[in-house]
Amino acid sequence: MFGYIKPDKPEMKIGEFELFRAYYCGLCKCISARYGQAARFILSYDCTFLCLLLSSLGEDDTGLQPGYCITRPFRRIPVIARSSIMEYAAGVNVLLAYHNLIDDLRDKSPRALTALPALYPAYRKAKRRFPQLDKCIKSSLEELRKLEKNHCDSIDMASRPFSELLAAVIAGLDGLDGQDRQRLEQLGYNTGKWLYTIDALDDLEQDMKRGCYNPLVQQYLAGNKALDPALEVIRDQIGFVLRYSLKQVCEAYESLDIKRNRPLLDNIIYGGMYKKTDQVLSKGAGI
Amino acid sequence: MNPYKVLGVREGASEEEIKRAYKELVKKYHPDQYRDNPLSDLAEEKLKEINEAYEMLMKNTGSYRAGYSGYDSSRSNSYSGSDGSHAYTFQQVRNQINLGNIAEAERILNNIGMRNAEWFFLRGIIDLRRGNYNQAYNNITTAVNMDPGNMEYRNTLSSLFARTQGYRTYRTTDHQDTTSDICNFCATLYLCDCCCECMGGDLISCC
Repeated sequence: MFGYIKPDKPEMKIGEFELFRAYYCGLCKCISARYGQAARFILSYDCTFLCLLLSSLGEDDTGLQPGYCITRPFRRIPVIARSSIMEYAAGVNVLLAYHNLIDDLRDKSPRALTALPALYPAYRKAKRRFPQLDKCIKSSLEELRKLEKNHCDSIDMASRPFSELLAAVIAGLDGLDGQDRQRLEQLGYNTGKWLYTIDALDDLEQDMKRGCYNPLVQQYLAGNKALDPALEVIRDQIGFVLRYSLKQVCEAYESLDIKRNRPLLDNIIYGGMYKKTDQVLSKGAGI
Repeated sequence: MNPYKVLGVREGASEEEIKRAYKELVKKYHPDQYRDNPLSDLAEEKLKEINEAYEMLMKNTGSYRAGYSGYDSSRSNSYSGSDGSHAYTFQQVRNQINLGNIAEAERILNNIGMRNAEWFFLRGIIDLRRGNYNQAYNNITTAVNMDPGNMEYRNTLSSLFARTQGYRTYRTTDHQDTTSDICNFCATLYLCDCCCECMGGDLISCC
């Protein structure tokens, strides 16, 4: 469910791209400073988006500062300075990545087996810093696990725990006022719904082949039905869910008081997320 | 409280009149109209009062409504006459949805045994509020299919669709194929020339 929230790079201006990268690099530096070098590898675009969105709401602007990056050793690059918001996003990134790996481990993924011990110290630190958040993520993912175990056959029900999780994560920052929190919750809930649903649709074929759990297979293809005739219905109905939840995201976003970075956020939400929706919906059109 | 006064109709007004007045008032004081408005609390209170007055009047007229099959002809003309007893309950569900008590609305709706178009429609509205977009879509579509003549169901469905379509306002430059520009034209000529030379001829003599 990660890596779907990305900027629409071809539509970006160079300045926007640089700014996005400054956030990305800033978050990377923040993670390594707080949670150690090993944790750097879990850096995700989704948490960059979280950091970007929350930073755009605050009164005070954290400026750019020059930094070095190991991937470009001879150049100084602009990065966003560390702030409490970035610390929060870094913590979220570590906690989500760790719990995700735990999930993968249950599926006996060899990657998880090697990555988990490396990430464990970082997880312990993040857990100590954000105990509430850790509990919330854990319980939501457990609920999701339970639904998967019972072969839940409704995309609405299956996507609920993850939606609630994202609502809690996006609106979980300290110091937000009541109205902003409510709007962020709506944004988070619908983003979660969108993410879970698009992930299910994207993996549909693969999960069918491997016999893995997928709510869409349970809902539309129970009893070993063929994929082709059902695909039309799935695309129609799931397309509605995706677009409707995305519309809700947009409405929540438009009601927020965005103080900076608007073009960049516009690009991610109206460009990247919609493009991804169209791309996944039209995928498999030729089979 | 005088319910007639609250709804702004004369005493002894017909059911049709009460209904019309009620609908107008609900529209006027609907919470959606007062989003981010300091008067929202006041509007909510007013709406509560209106709902109470309406329920009061409807209860009083319930005795003659039982055998009154023409009740609310705009909505129930395609159902059987026995539907009248459910019309009040459906209205209750609508009131609860308007007030934002989704859990209560769901409870009342689930107690109704009959599954007609209106039931599916209201179920869909509740699903929508709950974030169950897939079920909402299916239920409202079912309602439209069961009662194709009902404009309320149709309009709701089409406005839902409109919401999923109206997003392409973002500045996007069209990435059209720019194969017809001058560079491509020259390159094509050059290639033609090369081919001709290979075959022993010449298309452009200077190169």
